[in-house]
Amino acid sequence: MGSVNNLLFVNDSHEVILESIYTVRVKEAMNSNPMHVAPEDTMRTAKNIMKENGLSGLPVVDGARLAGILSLYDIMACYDNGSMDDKVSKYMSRDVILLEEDMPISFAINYFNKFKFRRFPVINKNKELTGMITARDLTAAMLNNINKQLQKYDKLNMRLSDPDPADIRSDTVIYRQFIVHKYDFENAGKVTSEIKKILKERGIKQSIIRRVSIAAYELEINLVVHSDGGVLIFQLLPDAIMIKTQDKGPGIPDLEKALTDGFSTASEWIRSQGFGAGMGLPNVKRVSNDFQISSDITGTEVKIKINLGNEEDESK
Amino acid sequence: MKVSDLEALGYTRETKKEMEDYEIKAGYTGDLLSDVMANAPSDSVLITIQAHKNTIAVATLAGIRAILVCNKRAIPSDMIEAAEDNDVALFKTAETQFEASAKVAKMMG
Ligand SMILES: Nc1ncnc2c1ncn2[C@@H]1O[C@H](COP(=O)(O)OP(=O)(O)OP(=O)(O)O)[C@@H](O)[C@H]1O
Ligand SMILES: [Mg+2]
Repeated sequence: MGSVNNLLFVNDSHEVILESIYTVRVKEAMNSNPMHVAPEDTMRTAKNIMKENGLSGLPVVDGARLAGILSLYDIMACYDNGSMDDKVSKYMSRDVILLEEDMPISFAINYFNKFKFRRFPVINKNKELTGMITARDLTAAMLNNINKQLQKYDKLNMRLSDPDPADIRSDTVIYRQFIVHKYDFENAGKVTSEIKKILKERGIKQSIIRRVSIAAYELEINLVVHSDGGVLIFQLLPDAIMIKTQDKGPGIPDLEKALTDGFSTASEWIRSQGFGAGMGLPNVKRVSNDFQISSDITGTEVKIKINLGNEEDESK
Repeated sequence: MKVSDLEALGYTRETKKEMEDYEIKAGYTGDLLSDVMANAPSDSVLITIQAHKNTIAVATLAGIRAILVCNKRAIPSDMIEAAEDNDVALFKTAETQFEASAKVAKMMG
């Protein structure tokens, strides 16, 4: 996922369900160490196990290998024209449709749609039986995962909450929110490019675009390099441009130091990439007509304004 | 001078894509991206040793038309790709930044 997403709100249930279908493995949803019988066991034994445990199907295991599966129909066939003392191997079906434990549950869902069976045996790489899975197990695992994801998103949303109504002026011309991920150097600068494009299309003066680009870029890069991820909010007003970044932490312990020319906590590796001169925030402040920063361990917020049009505002 | 004049100075063009031969009006020498972002003039050539993709992002935002990577620094292929995607001409040389800056400045007059 690139970082230039409009922040369409994340409890978009579709996404969450899709993600769980592809990320949860059969292994996590299945019932491990299932009841089973051996091929030499009698049909009576099998019938009793199924009855006592309310099972409609029972895997048949030879050593550790899955040899077949026994269904209620096989038990009925045995009642009709055989003896309960017969061996399981005589009645079991050997063409077993099975799932592998490392498959995502999207496969299992597909199987339940395609075949009429109500449960599937699950095997590992060595073809040993490791579990059984029913439609009910699937639903439970998915709900569990969706719940976890929502909790994660809730946490994010709390911090990156819906726009603060106080932030949106009634005369806002354009309002955009972008998510910026921690250490996403691959996409670093894309949010700023997007903003630059919007301003160009609107015919905003070159000198203003340059100042906005500097501010947006430095704030965007700070989210990538120093924060645990956050959002960058861009607003075009009739008389000004506002940019605000909000992140999830870890915060800036000493704001005065952070605003000092040359102060940086960037690591050696980050410096080797050309970042970490300690000039970002001072530059943002310099190109802005209004600059506000606040920070605590739950995150940092920077809010800046650049006025449009007025020539004397362009003097640095 | 034009972007193509960098070739006349003996620098090797790394971007192979056909690009407009822009007029270069100024030059800037630096390796700190926030410094380049803040101070490089537009329609300029950047003389640097910063051979990676993030330099292209800064060049694009700052209106830099060409980048000259000095000291024989190896240029990764994703940097060349990004340069082609953003119409920034990319050159390399074994010269130091001092030597290259002097030559380019002289040509600009
Ligand atoms: N969003 C943030 N979260 C946490 N710390 C931050 C954040 N933004 C800035 N800082 C801290 O403030 C310091 C100064 O930031 P500034 O942008 O001025 O310089 P830099 O990012 O270190 O270097 P440069 O911007 O020149 O590449 C950073 O080194 C970092 O310690
Ligand atoms: Mg910075």
